[in-house]
This record gives sequence, structure tokens and C-alpha cells, in this order.
Amino acid sequence: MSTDDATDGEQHDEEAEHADEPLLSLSDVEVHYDTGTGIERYLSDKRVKAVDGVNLELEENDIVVLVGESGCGKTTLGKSAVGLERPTGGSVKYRGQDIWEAKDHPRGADIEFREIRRAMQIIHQDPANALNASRRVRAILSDPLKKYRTELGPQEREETIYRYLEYVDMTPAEDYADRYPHQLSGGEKQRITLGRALLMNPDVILADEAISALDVSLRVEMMDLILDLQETFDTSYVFISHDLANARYLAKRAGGRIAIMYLGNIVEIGGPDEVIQNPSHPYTEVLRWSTPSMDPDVAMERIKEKPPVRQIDVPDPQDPPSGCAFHPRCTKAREACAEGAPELYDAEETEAACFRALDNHEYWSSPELEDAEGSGTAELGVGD
Amino acid sequence: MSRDDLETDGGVTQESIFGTGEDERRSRSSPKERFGRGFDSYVRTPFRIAWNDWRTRIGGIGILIYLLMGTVGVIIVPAPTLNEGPRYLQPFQDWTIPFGTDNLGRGIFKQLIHSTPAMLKMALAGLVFAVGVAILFGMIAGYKGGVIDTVLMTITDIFFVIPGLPLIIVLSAIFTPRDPFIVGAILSISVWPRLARELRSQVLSLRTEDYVEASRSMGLSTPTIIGQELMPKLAPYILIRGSGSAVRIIRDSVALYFLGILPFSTTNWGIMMQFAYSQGNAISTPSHLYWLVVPLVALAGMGFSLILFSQGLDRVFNPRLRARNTEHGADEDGTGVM
Amino acid sequence: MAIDQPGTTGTPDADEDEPEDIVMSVRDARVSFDMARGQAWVLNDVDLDVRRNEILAVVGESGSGKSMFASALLDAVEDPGVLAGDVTYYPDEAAGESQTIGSFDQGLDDSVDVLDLDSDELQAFRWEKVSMVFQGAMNSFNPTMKIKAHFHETIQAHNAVLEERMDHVRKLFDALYIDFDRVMTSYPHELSGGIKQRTLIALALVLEPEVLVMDEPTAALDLLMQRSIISMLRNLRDEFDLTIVFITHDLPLVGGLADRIAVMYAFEFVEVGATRDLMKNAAHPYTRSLLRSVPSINSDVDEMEPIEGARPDPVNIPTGCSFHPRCPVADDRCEIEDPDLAAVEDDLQAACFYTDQAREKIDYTLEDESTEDDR
Repeated sequence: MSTDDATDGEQHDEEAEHADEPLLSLSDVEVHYDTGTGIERYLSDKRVKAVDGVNLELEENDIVVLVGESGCGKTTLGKSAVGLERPTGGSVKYRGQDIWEAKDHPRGADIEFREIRRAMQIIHQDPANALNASRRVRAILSDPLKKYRTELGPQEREETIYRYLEYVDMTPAEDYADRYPHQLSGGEKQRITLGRALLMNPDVILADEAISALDVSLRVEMMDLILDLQETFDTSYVFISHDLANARYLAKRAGGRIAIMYLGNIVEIGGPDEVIQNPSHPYTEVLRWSTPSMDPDVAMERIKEKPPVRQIDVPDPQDPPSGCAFHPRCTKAREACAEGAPELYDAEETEAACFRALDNHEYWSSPELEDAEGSGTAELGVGD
Repeated sequence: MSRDDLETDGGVTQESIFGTGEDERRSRSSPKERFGRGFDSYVRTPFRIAWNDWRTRIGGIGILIYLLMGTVGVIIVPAPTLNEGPRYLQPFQDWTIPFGTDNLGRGIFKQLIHSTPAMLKMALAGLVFAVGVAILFGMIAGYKGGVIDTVLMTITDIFFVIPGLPLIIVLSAIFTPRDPFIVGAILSISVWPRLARELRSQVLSLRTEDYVEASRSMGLSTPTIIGQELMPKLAPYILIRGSGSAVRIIRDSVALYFLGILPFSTTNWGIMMQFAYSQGNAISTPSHLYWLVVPLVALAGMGFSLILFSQGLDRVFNPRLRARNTEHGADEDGTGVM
Repeated sequence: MAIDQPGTTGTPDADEDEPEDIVMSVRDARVSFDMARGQAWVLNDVDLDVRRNEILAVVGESGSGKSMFASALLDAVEDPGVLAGDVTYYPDEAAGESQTIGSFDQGLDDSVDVLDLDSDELQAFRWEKVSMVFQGAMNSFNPTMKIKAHFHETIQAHNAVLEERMDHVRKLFDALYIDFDRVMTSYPHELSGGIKQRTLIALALVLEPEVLVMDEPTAALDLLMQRSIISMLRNLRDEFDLTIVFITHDLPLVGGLADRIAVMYAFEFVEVGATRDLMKNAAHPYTRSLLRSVPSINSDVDEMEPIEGARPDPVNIPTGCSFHPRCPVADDRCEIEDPDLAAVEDDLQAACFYTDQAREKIDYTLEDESTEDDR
């Protein structure tokens, strides 16, 4: 996958060295923001922990879907994974090479930052914003080629672009190449965004809610295209979604994993069937409950149920709870949950960050919390 | 569908799918076609869009007139000489001296024409300096942020805060600039800091756009991103503010000449007005008023033309209009599928 | 009609022999506007009845005309669009004198021609009889006013009694799980999206309208909040005798909420019917294709299929049946004739000639057979 013939040999050697490293490895990644402006920043120690100590590994040809509600940190985590956001703690490694080290100290790096940069791309949610409205499709798709396929002349670049357009059913290619983004439909715009990323031949693509802005009936088409291209090009994907149903579709079709996030942590991770059918973390159950079933009989029964949380609104990210971040809303929480923060433990079929996954934890002998727990009754609080 | 092409011998190489394959040098459009597209894109379409707007038309013609005055006019119309007509001849009396004469019998019309090159030079210098420095400081500071931003903006703020007029007066006293280019450059000092700050804030908001992030993710360099992504968005703004700056600089120069602060060299409209005021007592003598009013009108006309022109020109950057007016790739209605 | 089927209407005390009690009816509604390239029809001769006390979901993708339909119900179609047709409101006869809150004077008529009202009457009509929560409305609070001021402003503008209304608001807030004291004294920016949206719903109900029209009220919200609001809406309907028209693109979302669903495509209604019947065995090819293309929590992922083609351009709607270019069972007749809504079953109507073929050919499942729903 090298672009420069001269270093071809070197690249292969390095790749061999790094062959058994995972494609992407996030260790204890933290992204903390200081809040407030000016003097406040120095005086107060209020921080928002957008991502708070996350470990995640991604292999070749792998898919991980990050699912969570707003404020859970999934976008920040995703951007950290592809090098668009610099973590304040922990490390992000591409085939064993710490990517920020490669940028700061280029001499000591095994893999050049330029190579890493090429290998990690992003597709945005809103196709209307993801393309520069003042530039034609031809110009937009030339960018990656001019940068990374320098051996191609202008005619060859043009040919490459036409071939991509034909591949994604945007024919006649010459006509489409001359269009401006406003002359394309939502699905077509998204295919151009995808093309821009793929023409660089990346190893990882971050798809940030890449289908939410599309018409409902087109989403499956886009997801299928992405999966299809993944198979052909061996690209790995980190998908961000707030919709559990779409996450399930992707993860299941691609044989990947779903990672549920809450307030900056991954609280459960596993295969889609396992996470959805037999979750071990109470928050996953909440998300599951929130996703409606298509069967109207089932849906009508369910609608009468109360949500399995103690508070509907999400807590203030600037003032996170002590211990386990979910405990104030958790129906199964006990005092032990307020004191210690769980890590990802091996649970029945998934990994879950809940003390209940461990047989011998003091959770089981800990007294219940003061507020009545009840059996799934929600006391709907008022949030931030 | 070309997915069938993928079944090669075992491995599928990405290059061969989207690549041309170095052995196939065919291409679908000839260099001539590509040149045609480029020409259409950069020349014909903008011109067509611009011409369609009455503002650009009128403003453009106005600017053209002034340009002609300053170039061809200077050659055709002889220089003003003393006593070519009676003193204080009223305008529109003698058609060889259309705007009358001043206190020394010099034709005002001729003075007007021969002052134009100086005004044009000043306007140009002012525009180039004001806009150039503002773009450099403002856009780089806005895009880069951090230390660079702080340094550049501190410099900008220093110039912002120093009172423009006294500064220029002092600089004029020190350097006694006579060359209109230099005058324009000095006068731009009062204008570029605000423009730099404005551009910076525009860039700050554009910087977070998704397509800019995508370009960063591709590893494109900062100059490339600024030039290719940000410029087309900011061009209308720059044009309008830029021409506004040019107008302001001309006005400032007139004011300073009128006040007698800038040293006189070749004649210009400001100087004409100064003389009209000081030597002709134009304000208190109604019959001498024309001497003051004629350069005033020329001044207003130039400013008006510049501003109209730049306002109309902002349409050129609108991609919907470009699509509608282009010959390549547009649908009949120019709006495509949506 | 079919009042005794489970889950079809929500009227707890409906007499089984009464014909449906209709609160609003729309006939031949059309909205068009002139564009440079032709006349665009964004609502194409639609007919629909809204039954009293029901929750009616209007489902369609973006560009299907559903928001335009919602606006038509309140005669709120904006320039340059022009609304023509009939929109009639039938006040509740059983309500009687106590229903005069605010300044709307319906006189002695038993029906109100909405399009005929002048602007004063329309203003009174809109908050007092039929109220609307617009898409993205939670961003349209006045940032300089506290929530309390918003309520007072609305109440006073309609000449209603302040104290009485605020008591009613307390009840609404209870049903919506909002802390009255805290929220009333807050500014909009201090509240989260979920709370703002619920507050907005309360605001729309402050004058006790009969009908509440909601355009994608949960679109920008998180999953849990979305789901909770759906439950709250059902309770609101029961407690306050409301009729709700819920506009959305998300079909699974309303499966448990709506009594009836009306599916829109290309600016017309293509299928209208009881939720249960429609979702279990839809008649129209578009509805069936849609159900086949929307992944849900327990759908069979290998059977999902997108709908081919693109949505129609308002200036260039296909001839005959507007779905025919994308329809798997269309034939030549469909290109020429435009089908009207016709009854397929008791409480199910579809605008298609070939509903039998559609049911045969387009397969979708609601449950994934291989996995079980264990709770």
C-alpha cells in the first residue's frame, strides 16, 4: 500500500515488524477539557471528561459501532481514534506506532506521520456540510489523489475519478464530475464523501453518524455500500451511532462489535446479538428499552412500561457522579457503586463495566441506596 | 457495474480498481476539452454571471471610465497650462474648457484627468496593502490559533489602537511621501487592522466546518486549505470590504490633502479641493463653488463605482449561479436532482 | 367502524355503534407554489379525517409533504405556497359552555371552515382549538425571557384567566414530569433539550386545545428521552381528552403510540389504517418496501432491502401513480392511472390497484425468527 516506489522495500519491512500489532490500539485514552474562559480556567478545576480512560483495539477489516446518547463522548473518542483530536492522556497507536509521537518526533518514528495521516479518514454526518459547496465533484475527489497518488498525471487522475463514480452508480461519470454539491441528492453527496475517503486507501474510516441525515429508506443502501467496500478494500470502520437498530444492522452484517458508551467510558462491548439480547450492564438495558420494536403488539404493551432508570435526564458532564458514573440512575445500584468505579469485566457474553459481573465483589453484600429502588420505577428527575 | 472487474487472480489490488493501471493511458477527455472546461470555469462563467447583475454592469463601466481617464485620457487630453482661459471661467460655458478654470486660468477638466493616475495609484496601493496584510494576518491567525494567533493579533491590535490620523500625520512628516503608491500604503495602516480581525473571525467559524476537517484529515497543508477551501467562501467578503477600504483610503487622502498635511507633488483631486478652498474661497464665494464640486463629484463617482462593482461581483462566487451559467455539466435548470 | 378492535382507537368510552367522531377533516387540500422551472405541488389533493381522541401518525420521508400537511391543518402554509381545498374543524358538542377558554368564538355553527377564518379568528383558533408544536421549535424560545414569561405572554394574548391557566399548567407539568418551580424560573438556555421540548408541549396545551399537531417532536432528542416522551403523550391524551396528530419519518417509533397511521408519499396519502393492521400486513407497495428497508432492533438483517430510485421532484411528479417508477409490482396501468385511496380491509385503505400482488411479492418480517425477545 505504499505510494512511493523508492521506499517500497522499507515499507514492507516495517509492515512485517508491525504485522502482529492490532491496527489501532487505544490505551487509557483521556480527553479532558477545562471549562470556563479566561481566569476561570486557572482558578477552577472544573473539567469535562469527555473521554475518561478508554481501552479499545481495532483489527484489520474490523467494525466497531460506538453507541450512546449525546454527551457520552462517542464523537470525541472516534475522533481521537483517527487522530483528529489529541488526547490529554493515554496513547493511540497505529500498528504499534504512537501517532502523536510520530508527529512530534518524526525522527524516532517507525511509521511516518504522513503515512498514518493517510491511513485514517473520516466521513461526516451531514453530507451537505461535508463537501465544500463552492467546489465541483471533480475538484473534491482530486484532493486525495493529488496528495497521495502523486505518480498519476491529470488524465490518470480523471480516469480514476470516473471509475469511482461509475462504481457507485453515479453515471454518466463525466456529468457527475462537473456538478456542484447542491446538484446532488443526499445519498449522492454521501457517496462522494465516502469516495474522498476511500481514494486515499485508508486503513480506518471514522463514520460519524454517517447515515442519520439520509432518508430512512436509503440508509440501508448506504450501509450496504459501506460494507461492500469494506470487503473489497479491507478497511476497518469505527461507526458512531445514536441508534441502536442501525448499529445492530451494521455490526451484525459485518461481524463486528457494538460498544455502548456512557459519560466518557465504554460500559459494555461485545457482538451485536450478545449485547442486545443478553446485556450485562444496566445502561444497555435502558437503551434496549428505548428502541422500539416493529411489532405493534409488542410495542403497545411496552409503551405502558416505565423506563428502567431512576432519572430520565442525563447528569451534568461537568459534575459527574462519584464511583460508577451510572449509579444515580441505575435501578440496581447499591452503595458500593457510589464508592468505586468499575472497569470492563468479562460478563456472561460481553464485557461490561459493572460490579454485578463479578461474583465476589463487595457489591453483593453492600446495602441498598437510600432512595427507593423499586422494580424499574422511574422517578423522573429534572436533569442539569 | 464494474464490480465484476474485481475478480482478478486471487488478490484484488486497490490501485487497479480505482487506478488507471499504468498500462492503460487512455483518457476520456482530451487536453483541449480540459482546457475548455478550465476556461469556462474561470473566465466565461464568472463574466457571464457578473454581467447579468446591473450593479456589476454599472459599477464596471464606471471603473472602466476612470481607468480610461487615467491611462488613455492622460495621453489624449493635454496637460493644464496657466492662463489657457480666463480666470474663474464658469463651467459649461466654453466647450473646450468644459468645467471652467481655476484662479490661475488652468482648465479644471484637464486637471481632473491628469489627477486620475495619482488617485488610481493610491487606491491600488491602498487596496493591495490593506487587503494583503489583512489576509495574511487575519487568516493565518484564525486558522492556526494558539501562539501564532496571539502574536499576530497583538501586532494587529497595536496598530488598531494607535490613533490612525495622528499616526499618519507623524509618518507623513517624517517620510514626506510624494509618490502616490507610498501614500496609499501608509494610509492603509488605518484600515487593515479591522479587516484582519474581521477575516480572523470569519475563518474561526469556517474552521470548524466539516469539509475543512476532512481536508485536515487528508493531511492537506495549511496554505492549501486556506487557498482552496476558505478563499472561495471568503472571496465575496474580501472583495466588498476591500473595495470599501480602497474608497476609504482615497477619501482619507483627500481629507489629508485638503487639510494640507500631506505634501503636494503632482496634482490630485484632494489638492484641487484644497486650492479651491484656500485660494478660491470656494465655500464663501458661490461663483467659485464649481471648483470644489467637480473633484468632489469625481471622487464620489469613483467610490460609488467601486462599491457597486464589488457588490455585484459577490454573485460570481455563488455555486448555484455558477452551475446555472456554465456550459459544462449543468442541467437545464441548473438545480439538479434536488 | 371497527371501534372494538384492540388498540385501534383510544377512546375509552366510545359507544360501539356510533360512527367515528371526527374532529377535523381535510378534503382536496392542495399546496402549490411557483418556481422558476414550473409549478411545484407539495400537497397533492389529499383527503383525510382525524378522529376525535385518537393518536394519528402521519409517516413519510423528507420531501413527502408531511410537514406541509401539518401546516395545512392550521392554515399556516407560508408564502409563496398557496393552500386550496377544505379544512374543517368540528368542535366537541359534548363539551358545552365550559369550553370557552380564550377568545375564540365559534358561534352556533357545528363546524368551522378553517381556511375561511380571518387573521384574528385564526390566531384565536390556533392555540385554543388546534395547537401545534413545530419541528425544531425548542430552539425558538425567547432567550431573554424566563419560561414563566413565555406562558404568561401566551395566556394574556388570548385573554384567558391567568391563575386558572397556571393551575392547569401545573397539571400538565406533572404529566410531563417537569419540576414546575425550577423550570418556571429558568431561562431557556439553562434547560436541556428534553426539558425544553416537554415544556413546549405544555405551552402548546396551556389553553386546552382539542387537537395537538406535532411535527417531529422527538427528532433531535436522545433515545431514552424520545421513548419517554412517547409514553407521556399517551398519558396526556388520556388525561386531557386530546387528539394528537404526530408527524414523523420514523415508522418504528410510532408503532406503539398511534391508533392509526397515515403514510405519505410524493405529497399524497398512499395508505391509511389502524396501526396493527397496517404494520402487520401493509397493503401498499411503498409501505411494504419501507417496512422492508428500516432496520429495527429485532429485524432480520439479511432481508433488509433499500427502495430503489430517488424521491420525486415536486415539479416533476411521475404520471399516474407517483410511486410507479420505483414499484416492484407496477405495470402499464400504473403509469397512466392514479389510484385513489380504496378500502382494503375494515380499517385499512390503500391507493393501489395491486395490493394483493404487493402483499405477495414484497416480503417483510417484523420479528427476527432466530432470536427471541427475552425480557
